[in-house]
Amino acid sequence: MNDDTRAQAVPRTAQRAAAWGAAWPSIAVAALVIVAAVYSFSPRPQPVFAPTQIYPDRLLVTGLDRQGERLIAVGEQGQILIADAAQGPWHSASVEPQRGSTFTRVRFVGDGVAVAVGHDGWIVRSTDGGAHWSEVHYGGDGSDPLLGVAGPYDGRLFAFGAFGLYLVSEDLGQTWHRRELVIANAAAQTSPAADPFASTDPNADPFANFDSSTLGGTGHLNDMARAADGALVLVGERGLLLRSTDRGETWTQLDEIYPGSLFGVLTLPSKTLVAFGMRGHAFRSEDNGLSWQEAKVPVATSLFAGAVAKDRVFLAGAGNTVLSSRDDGRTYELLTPSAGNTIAALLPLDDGRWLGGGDNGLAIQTAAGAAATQGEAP
Amino acid sequence: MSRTEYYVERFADFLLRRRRPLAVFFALVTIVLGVCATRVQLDPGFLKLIPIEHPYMKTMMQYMRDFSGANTILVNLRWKGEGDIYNKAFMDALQKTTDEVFFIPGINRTRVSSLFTPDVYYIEITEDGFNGEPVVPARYSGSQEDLDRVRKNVEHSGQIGQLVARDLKGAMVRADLHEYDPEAGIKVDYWEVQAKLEEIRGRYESPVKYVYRMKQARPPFAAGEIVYEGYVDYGALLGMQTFKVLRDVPGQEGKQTFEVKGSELTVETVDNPEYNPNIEINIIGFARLLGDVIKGLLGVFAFFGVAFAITALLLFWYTRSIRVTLVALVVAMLPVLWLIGVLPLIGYGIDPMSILVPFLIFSIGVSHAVQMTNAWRMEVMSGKNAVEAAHASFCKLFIPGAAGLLTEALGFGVIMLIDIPIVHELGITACLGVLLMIITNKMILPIILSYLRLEDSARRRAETQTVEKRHPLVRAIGACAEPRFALVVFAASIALLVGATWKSRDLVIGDSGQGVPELHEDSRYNRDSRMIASTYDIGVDVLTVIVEAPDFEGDSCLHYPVVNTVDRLELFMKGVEGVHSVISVGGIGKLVIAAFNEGNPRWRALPRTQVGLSAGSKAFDPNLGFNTEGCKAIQVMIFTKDHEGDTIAHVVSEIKRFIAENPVEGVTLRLASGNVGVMAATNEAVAEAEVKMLLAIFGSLVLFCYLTFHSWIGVICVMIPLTLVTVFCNALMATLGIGLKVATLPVIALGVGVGVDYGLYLFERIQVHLQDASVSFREAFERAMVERGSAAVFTAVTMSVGVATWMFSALKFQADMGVMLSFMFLVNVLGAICLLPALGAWFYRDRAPGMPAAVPQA
Repeated sequence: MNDDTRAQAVPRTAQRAAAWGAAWPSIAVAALVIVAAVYSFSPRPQPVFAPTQIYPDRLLVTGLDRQGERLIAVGEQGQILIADAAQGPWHSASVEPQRGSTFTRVRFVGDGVAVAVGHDGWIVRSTDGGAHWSEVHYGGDGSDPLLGVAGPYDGRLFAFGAFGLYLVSEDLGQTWHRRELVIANAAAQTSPAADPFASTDPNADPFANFDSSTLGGTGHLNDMARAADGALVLVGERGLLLRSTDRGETWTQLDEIYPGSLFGVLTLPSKTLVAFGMRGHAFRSEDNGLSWQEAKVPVATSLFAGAVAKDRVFLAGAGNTVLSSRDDGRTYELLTPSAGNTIAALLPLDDGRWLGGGDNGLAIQTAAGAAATQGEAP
Repeated sequence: MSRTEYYVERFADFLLRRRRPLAVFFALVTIVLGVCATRVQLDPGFLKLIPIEHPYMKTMMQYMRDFSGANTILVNLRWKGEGDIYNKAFMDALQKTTDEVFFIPGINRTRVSSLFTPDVYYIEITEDGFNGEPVVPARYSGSQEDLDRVRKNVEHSGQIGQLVARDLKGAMVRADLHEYDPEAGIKVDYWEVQAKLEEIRGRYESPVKYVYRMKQARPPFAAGEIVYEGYVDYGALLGMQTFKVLRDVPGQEGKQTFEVKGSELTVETVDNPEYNPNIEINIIGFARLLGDVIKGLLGVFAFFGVAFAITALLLFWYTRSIRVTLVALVVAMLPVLWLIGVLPLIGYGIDPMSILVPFLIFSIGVSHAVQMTNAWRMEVMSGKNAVEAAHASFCKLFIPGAAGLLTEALGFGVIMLIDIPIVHELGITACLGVLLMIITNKMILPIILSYLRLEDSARRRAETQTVEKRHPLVRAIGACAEPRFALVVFAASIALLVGATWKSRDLVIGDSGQGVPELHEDSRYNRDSRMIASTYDIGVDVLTVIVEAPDFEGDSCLHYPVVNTVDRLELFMKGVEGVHSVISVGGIGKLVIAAFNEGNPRWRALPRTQVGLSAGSKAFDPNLGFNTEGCKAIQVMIFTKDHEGDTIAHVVSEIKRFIAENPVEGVTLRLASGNVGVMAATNEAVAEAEVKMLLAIFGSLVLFCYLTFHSWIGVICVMIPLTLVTVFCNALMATLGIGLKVATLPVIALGVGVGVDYGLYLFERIQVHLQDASVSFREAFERAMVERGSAAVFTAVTMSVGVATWMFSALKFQADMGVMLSFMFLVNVLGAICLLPALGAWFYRDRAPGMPAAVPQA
């Protein structure tokens, strides 16, 4: 300090201490500024972001079902969402163990009891309306996917899938047994027209690197329904159309109505059966599946989902297609504009709208150009 | 007299005794560096902007060759007419644009995609399998039939939202730019690329076309020969433009390239036959951005002109002496000239950010020159001759001046703690500039002053500004040096401090606002960017995670643990707030597998066997750009909703959480590439550097102050106002929505480095006057105010006005810097003339007037 030249009698340190003591307002201000600066530059808090979750509109949804108020949606990577209203909020259900295989369909099979099936032969079951799921069957790493679940028909549940994979449960899905799919008139299978693989020419497929010899004896089984007379109808790959009158023990192959794949089959309240499949093909049968007539469909996109509402039947599929028929499945009208997404499952709602599930997740839609409202995230 | 003062005095003797040879020497140096300065070049580059040492960027550099990184160019053609894009005029324009983009020098020609490139095909699933062909048929002729076909094919191609706008009103050309042109083997000339892109835009958007003819004959061109036709109006900048013209030369094979300067050409304006008011062209990409940034920089020169004029006027008003004004301006320009001359010698150029340095150096140069001329003028007024006055002012100002300049150099030096090349360059150039200023200001200026004679007008003016006849304003400000009034100053400071501290917590690291941060939100580039982002599914903000799986047998993508990890990461990221969409081999592989199964969405899953996964192998083709050969590395592209600092930090932390919670043997997930990856790395580097930089600069300033004054009171009086202003600056940034980023972090260091000057000059004088025991603190402060304070206030105002002109810059970061710097310059001087004396008043309270100076309080 240069200013201490004036100090003579008082020792330098004492004088300095006195000067500092007298300057307490300055020192207080200095301390305050330093504290404020340290606080100002200390790590700044992050704004709060919503926790990471499964958004219902960002998940591939392949199956939907409803019981009372409760809705269940299943989809990719072993995800199951539940809600008590179509507009949500949707919550992730717990699946134990979580194998991460993609589900393909879900179905309520009893009061609060639901079964979901999926890839790798995985089947999970819930007894509390879908909140908690536990594994009841797993096919192993090399297993073919299950593509559908049906029943209970006369106390039996059926799960079926790729390459003729066929499982039966007698106890509402607690235990499952693999069965051979017995086709009684197998002779028909040898005829080139009916054999799903005889016509397969690997060279016709520009991307083929699949070896068809690894395929099983039967094509993929896509959906099952029960006709009014109690007969079961099973549809599948390349026009496969089977009928069983003995609770699925033996099956009869019906005459081919279409060479392309059938993805679904429905029973209408009028007892009419509706089957649908590739490239806008839909058929109806008034004699419990013995004979079929082609319906009038205005589009040529593949149809993967079907559902029965009070007064009409819905079909839906690729290209955001949703069709409905009010004349017992004879003619369909297109309800939605064309878009890139595919609808894999559809659930009619009471107010005429419907909940669609597909590769764009869940969305509530209304007919004819009305703006689609997205399912809200929980 | 202390030892330092002794040496300073000896040096002043030497300087003025040898002033003649020294003047000649400095003149020679100036001429040499002036010649060098003409060789300085603009040196922009993509890689300079990124923190190359950051682990994210190391990942990015490692895979730069395999994955395009962030250097993509998107050219979107938007149809504004009736109907959709499927009409001949639009498709012709798209085809032509695709060709033109393809031939831009430096474009990676294997990665140009549009509806007209063969890599874009459609797949149709039929009862018998697939049908796949290019979207635009080989024999496309533009007939209605062809257009209908294209429309149908596009619907099946999955390109809606990718290469075709969702509303079918636009289609784009996507291309990647090399950093080094593999054909020519040279660095890609961004200026040329952006000029070509402008021409592409002009072809359809400009109603007129410009035809360039040679003014005079120059082999192989004849006078009046048309050498170039273009669509961009270069206006006054034509002279800066160089055109490459291809011509046949007899005797040589092929066409030869000739460079023609814009100044050799005359321009003729004709109607543009291809102009189509229904077509709008949106171009985004780093190359285009750089073009706009460089154009924005040209505006900076205009601001420099304005700032120069304002400074000159203020200087004259302050000194009333044309000679002193001129001297101050010339001496302030000298370090700028020297600096620009030195840059090419050390291998540096000027880039968009460091171009601000010369202006800053000029401002600081004016500040110090004013202090020096002011001191000299006072000496002259006190009756000394020019040489004696130069000697005295040199002795008085050398210590505080050199200390001030050294602290500034230090301020610029600590900027180098930010590990980004462009900031390094900024730091080095600024540091160098300030060090050069020690020579120009402390050596050349006294020599010039020793030859100067003060005009009468200046003498009259100076008479009003003496210690004895001080201005009433000085007396008013002097009140701050009274302990009683000091409390008022304290109260005001604390009130402001509390508010500012509270507000400063809202400061964000990274960008705030929409669009690229370099430009204003409503700039053409950002409008183009918004147009593309709103009509396509692809976002413009992408963060890439690299998944490495080097040790798997064969194709790693055929191993379930690898693709499943990618798939799970995709689903996880879709659930993170701030993420718009995610693309990688997982999702594409599932799409292909579903396509093999008749498009059935229930098959959209990854099988656990190699045989099953091989159905999706079409998705693992390296040409799609999502993985390297054999899937040894896979990129997962995460499109974010925006690039606000908080969003990026959240997304990155969620990715890190996923990586930590999902270890998979043999699979490594590495952050990060893409423009958001660059921003994430930059933000992290900035956040890390912030505290380090502030500690370094404040720590060393404290040390500097102590060494200068040998007094802790001095340190407190100088540093506390400075600290206060730094907090204010944070609050200002938070209020104006300016984020802490590469462009603004250095500003804080610059502001502190420059702001400390005022305190240093003032306190040095106070300390000198306090040596006289009969002088009260207030008296010492008021004397210091007359001697240095008025000059300090004057320079603060001048510098603030100078940098405030940047606010009108087309470049947002420059505007931000302008606001912040002028704020810091101004408020720092307020701190120095109000808070500094208030703090000092209590430390020297025992010297209050009327009290015997030597009586200490018990």
